[in-house]
Amino acid sequence: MSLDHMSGDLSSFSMLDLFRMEAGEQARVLTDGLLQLERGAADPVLLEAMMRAAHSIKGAAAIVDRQAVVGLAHAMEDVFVAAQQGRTTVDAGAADTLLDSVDLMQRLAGADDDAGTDAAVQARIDALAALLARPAAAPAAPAPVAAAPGPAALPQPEAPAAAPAPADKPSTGAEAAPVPASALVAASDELLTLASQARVHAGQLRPWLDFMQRYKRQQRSVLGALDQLHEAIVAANDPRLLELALALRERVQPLPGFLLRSIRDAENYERQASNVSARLADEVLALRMCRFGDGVHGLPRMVRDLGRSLGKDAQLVIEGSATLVERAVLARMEAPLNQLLRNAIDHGLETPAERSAAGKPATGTIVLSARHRGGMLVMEVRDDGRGVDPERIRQAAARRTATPAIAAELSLDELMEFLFLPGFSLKETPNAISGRGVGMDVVHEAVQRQNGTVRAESTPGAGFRTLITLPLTQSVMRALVVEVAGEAYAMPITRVEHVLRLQRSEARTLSGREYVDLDGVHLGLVAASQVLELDDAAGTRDDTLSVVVVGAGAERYGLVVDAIVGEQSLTVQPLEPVFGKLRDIAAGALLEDGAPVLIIDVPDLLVSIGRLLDQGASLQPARAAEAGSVRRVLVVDDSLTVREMQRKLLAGHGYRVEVALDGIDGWNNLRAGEYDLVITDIDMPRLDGIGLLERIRHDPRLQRLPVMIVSYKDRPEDRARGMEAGADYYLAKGSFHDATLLEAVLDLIGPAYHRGTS
Amino acid sequence: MSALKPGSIASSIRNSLSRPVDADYGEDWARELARPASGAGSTDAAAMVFRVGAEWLAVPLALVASVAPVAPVHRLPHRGGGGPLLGIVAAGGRLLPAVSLARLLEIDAGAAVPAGRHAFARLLVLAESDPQRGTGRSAGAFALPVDEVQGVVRYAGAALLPPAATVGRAPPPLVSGVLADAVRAAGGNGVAGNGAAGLLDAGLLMTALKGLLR
Repeated sequence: MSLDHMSGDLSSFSMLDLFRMEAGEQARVLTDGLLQLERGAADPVLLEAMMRAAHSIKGAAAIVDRQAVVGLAHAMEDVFVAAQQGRTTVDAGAADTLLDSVDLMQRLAGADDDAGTDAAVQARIDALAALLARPAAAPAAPAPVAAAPGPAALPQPEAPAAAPAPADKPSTGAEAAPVPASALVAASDELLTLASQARVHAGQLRPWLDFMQRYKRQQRSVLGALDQLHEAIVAANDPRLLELALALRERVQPLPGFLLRSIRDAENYERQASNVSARLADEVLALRMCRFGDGVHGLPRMVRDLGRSLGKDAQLVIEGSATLVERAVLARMEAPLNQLLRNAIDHGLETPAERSAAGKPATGTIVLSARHRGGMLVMEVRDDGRGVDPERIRQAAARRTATPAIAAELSLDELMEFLFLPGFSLKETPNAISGRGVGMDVVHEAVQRQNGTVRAESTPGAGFRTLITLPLTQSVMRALVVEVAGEAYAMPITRVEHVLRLQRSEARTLSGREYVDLDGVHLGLVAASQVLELDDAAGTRDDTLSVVVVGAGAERYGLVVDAIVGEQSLTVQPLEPVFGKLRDIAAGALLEDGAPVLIIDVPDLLVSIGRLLDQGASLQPARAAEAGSVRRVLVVDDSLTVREMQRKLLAGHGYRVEVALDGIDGWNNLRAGEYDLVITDIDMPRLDGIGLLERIRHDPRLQRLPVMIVSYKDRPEDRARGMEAGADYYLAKGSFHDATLLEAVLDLIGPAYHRGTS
Repeated sequence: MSALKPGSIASSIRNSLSRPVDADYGEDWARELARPASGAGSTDAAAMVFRVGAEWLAVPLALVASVAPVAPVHRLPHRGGGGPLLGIVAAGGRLLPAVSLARLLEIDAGAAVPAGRHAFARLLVLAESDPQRGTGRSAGAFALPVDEVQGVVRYAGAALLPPAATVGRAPPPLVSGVLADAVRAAGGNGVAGNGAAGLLDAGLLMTALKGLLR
């Protein structure tokens, strides 16, 4: 292959790309124009613009020798010219034909050649020609609903797919761009990474400046000492020394000035560097934004087509087109927004006849708006349809989940929440568009994935409104930074319900699982290091537990972490593709000091916790952090008061205390766990203290375990019986007070913490 | 210089060129020309030479994206400890997988640095260049903590020695050849061995590294 031939190939390839780009742009002009025209805006300026758009496509197609597109564009141009001259009108039927032509044209432009498209193109050109044959005076069909795509469109293979096809349109338009979107995204990710790196570097100048300030203070004290020396020399009156001292003083004089100037310069530099790097990061973030209107330009067409296929007359109004939205966010919201619009058309809007009867305009209006509010992006979809009757939700709720009695008491807001539950649908007969019960819950899930919230409001008879609130960007995240097993992890702040610091002794145990009482709700504690399966050799030794409360409902946990570092804004870095999906991790970031931090995927983490618990893992923080380091005591007593008193006393002195309700319960605990001491009562249901003691002494593993009896029985024969059974200590409750119990425990097993080698 | 006639310059040049040569002269040149070609002119490849534990290793230069200062490695959850994949590390602002070559190649990492030498640990960032995406961001990049980076060594592909049979068959067999005299005399002062470095095969190494992440 000759070099010449190759370069020829390449240049024609790029021409084709240019053509595709132009076709995409002009198709957008045509689509927008047609939708307006159909709504009766017979604007000559509009017609002129559309005529020119068709003409441009024709010219571009001729350059890259795509005759099919040339023919199609020419036929469209003819229709617009005719409309300009009043020879034809663009009504809904004509708009259908023209819109289908635009679609076909874009498909042709996207294909590599015109092969095999002749029949489709010819049929479309014929259909366009048929529009010209109609007399202009012909009255436009009043409600052109039943007249699905015009008769001429029938031979088209793509015509039957009218309903699903329009949904794909928004993306089709975007894909016509010549630069692969993935390359742009990668470059933009790289830019953001570099910008945040620059910011980290600028931030690292600060400690260096602090060091220089310290150095300045040192210098000052040395100079002070030098002055004293000088005075001493003056007093000593030794001419030789005095001469040396004067010379030295002269040399020292300028040093503080030098240092001061250096510090000032460095401070200036630091200020500029952090300023520029912060602005750089902001600008890069701005690059990742696009105008809301640009991202959703395909939707008005989708709404119109879908409305027609369902026998409804619907128009979409976009408000806040200029609102800046992060591209990635918008891309992820495309499916949910589509779903909401479909719901609005299918459930919300009435047929034109119903609307007229209700005194509303025959055309239903759906408004899609975007605006910034309080640092969040608020997207809203509202329609002027029939709304949702709360009583219907109540009935459906009673049928599906709640009992009628509970359903009857639900408030309006609570009823609305039902709409977002998986599998919840009001529509009795699901159709292809929506109503299979996979609508609103998909919206809910997508919004949650983006750390946002969604809310619905309804005015029966007047409309329905869905509000989506999202963080402005997914690139910068407000996050809670914590330390787990000595390393930094972060959680999106929107996912964190509470942060608690509590004393170890405040945690209770039930069947070996620790929990805390949080406003009357028992919150199970799980160790983050165990959930993440990190080897936590260091562990925490202090008496304070740092707990992050995540999740909701049955999946609500108190995640015990080493320490809570604080809230920070992190520039999110998607992890290198080579990592694949890391379990429980959403992304990475750099902390201010440049150290890596992993951002926890909280929904993933909740699933992980559930699975580990189901597998029987205890995930207990204390056990993980303290096994082998803190002495563990089992208190067995059927009296709550005694149990709690002993537990608090010992826990207060650092022992790890667990409680059991009677001998059997205690025996089960002993077999499952490791203890250094058992303190038991004698009189207990099911199995008494003596029985428990006998079992312990007969168990090969437990026979050497120290056991202390604390009992009301204070007669010598009771003591004898206990000691005979193998107790190491017998304490009468009558003579019981804190000091004696503690002394006895200290005697038996020593202090709570092992010292040196255990 | 006094004025000479042009003719005399020409004749003195002629005299100089046609003067009789020593007996050794021809022999010296014969020896010089007979010596096998070596030196800068004959190298056709380059490698980055570095040290892990007591072993000197090298990777093809094309694989080296950068040499970064050492940084703390953040472990990955659910991965256990002890494997070659150490975790994630920030190199040049990117978060990359950090892999221990010592663990991958079962090198005794505890070997002490010979006394009297300054060695600076570094992160060696390896990346497969991906022509599709340009040089900015490569498809798969890895950061390897090494104990010392010596620098670039040019060598002749033909001069590569085959590794010992036991090395060539080690699992994974990553060493494709041995670069003789790769470790500089100055830098190699006190280094065990003969100044040779084991050249790692680029393809096999990257495959082994990617395999760790699965």
